[in-house]
Amino acid sequence: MTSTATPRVTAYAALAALFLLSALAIRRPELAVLALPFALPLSAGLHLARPPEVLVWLTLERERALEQDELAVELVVASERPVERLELLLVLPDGLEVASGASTVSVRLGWDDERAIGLRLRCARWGNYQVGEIRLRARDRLGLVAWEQQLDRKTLLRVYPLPETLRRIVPPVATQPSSGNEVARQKGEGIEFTDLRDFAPGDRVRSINWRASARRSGLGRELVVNERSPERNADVILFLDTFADARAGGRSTLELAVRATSTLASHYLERRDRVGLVSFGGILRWLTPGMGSTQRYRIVDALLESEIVFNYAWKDVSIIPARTLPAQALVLAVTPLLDDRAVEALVDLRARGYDLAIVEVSPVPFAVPGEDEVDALAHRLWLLRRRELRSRYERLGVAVASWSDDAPLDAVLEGVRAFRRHARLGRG
Amino acid sequence: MLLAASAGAWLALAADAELLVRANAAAGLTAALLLAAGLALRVALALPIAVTLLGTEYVALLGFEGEALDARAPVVAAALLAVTELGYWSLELRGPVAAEAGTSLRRLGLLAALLCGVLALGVVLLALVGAVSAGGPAVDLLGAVAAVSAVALLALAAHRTS
Repeated sequence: MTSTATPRVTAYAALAALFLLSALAIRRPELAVLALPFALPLSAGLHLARPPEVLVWLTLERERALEQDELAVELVVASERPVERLELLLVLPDGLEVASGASTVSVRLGWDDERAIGLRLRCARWGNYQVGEIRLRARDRLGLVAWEQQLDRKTLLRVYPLPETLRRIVPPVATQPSSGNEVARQKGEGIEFTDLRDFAPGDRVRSINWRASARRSGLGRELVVNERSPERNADVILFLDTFADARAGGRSTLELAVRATSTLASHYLERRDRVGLVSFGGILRWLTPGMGSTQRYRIVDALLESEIVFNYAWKDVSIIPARTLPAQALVLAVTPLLDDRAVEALVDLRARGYDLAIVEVSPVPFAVPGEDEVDALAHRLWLLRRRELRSRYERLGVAVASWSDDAPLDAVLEGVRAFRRHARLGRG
Repeated sequence: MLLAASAGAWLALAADAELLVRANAAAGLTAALLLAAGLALRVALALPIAVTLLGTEYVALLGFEGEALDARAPVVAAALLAVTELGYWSLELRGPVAAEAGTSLRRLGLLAALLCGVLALGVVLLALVGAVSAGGPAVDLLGAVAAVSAVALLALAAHRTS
């Protein structure tokens, strides 16, 4: 605990000395009386001042929360000796804000006293937060000495991105052998009706479509059987571009991209698909495809650590481990399309035959055109260049949907689905 | 600030000579304005300077008057302490952290006790000086004690700060 004398100490000492020396100089004892109110509290206060021994505990209501959630925080302070004035400041990281109560409070502790201070925090933004940096400042009764201390009672708080409403996802073209919710294009054992064909030796009797067979009985044909498609799962790789982002007013394209990626991961995993993650940027992070709620937490935890790390080294898809990108996987890229390395990497993925779709987190709302003519022209050229980039992808058979905060993600994905119904999605 | 202005006005009106009245009134006004500016701009240094100005008024008053012991000294001392304490309190009240409920009452009680103590001790001190017969070696001794005490206080304060 660091102790410091308040400005009052210097002032009182100076006044006491001044009046006492004046008393000596002009030989008037009355001036010594004037020094008395400053000298006496000063000497008594400094002599009696003792550093407080304060114990502090911090409790978070829970360690996981969703964006915009509120959670209770309790600070408990205790001291065996009285503390006349104890100021506590709970330092909140950016992204957390006080919903009710105050992060700075002042309390008085008596003999063997304990106080609980409650406040509610609002999680304004997703992320991993260390909550628990506490700064204490105590003062003695006369306000002559202040003691300061910084305590570390850090607790990890994970704030998950708020999911977007999503009713349908982008269906993959190819499925995997394991069972899932996606109706495969291949025919086989399943419950989803696909077609009718003539009965062939070896067909099960239960697969005969008796109504259709009865209608065909006069045409010289015999029995017809139902053909079905199996329900399979798919491999989905979520490709998050973390090379660059656009920011304005505390919002950024990365923030939206993480929210979209988290939503997509949850929905694909609910369909029993295998979902992997590639965070492609200044730092490459990846998660090999997996299933289930464990994978969901892995992905979201990895997303919480997403950040823009500036790096000028050229990177392409060859640095991504091969097992992270299984063959016939649907690669769903969430990107602002601001960095050439990400743009080229996606073209490269498509050239390698991956089923690719792009959700473009639009940086346009973050880039306000300048007021003068040249700035406005530059902005128009930039918009044209972006449009040309989207056309380039579409010529390659890649659906690109532009998403910004003011539109539902579901509507944007409908555009991707519509494009993919007609586009040539086969390999290369 | 009101207290400082009142103290300044009182010390000005207590003087007999017209020149002293004017000088003390000017010093009192300056002290009050300085205090107001210090509180408005949150400059703590203005407080001791304002108190020094008020003290100077009293020194001038003593210089122009006779050699007899002035019985108003404890009242002036209490007034100066009250001005200083209330000034620092005002500065603290304008800080970002609101004090807990009941703190003001406790502090007011402490200030009242301090003022009573100062008045009582001042009277005792004056009585002692009067008894020893003012002037001569007694005042010299008091002055020497004052000087040593001042140096000791400054040393103690410096020790606490480091």
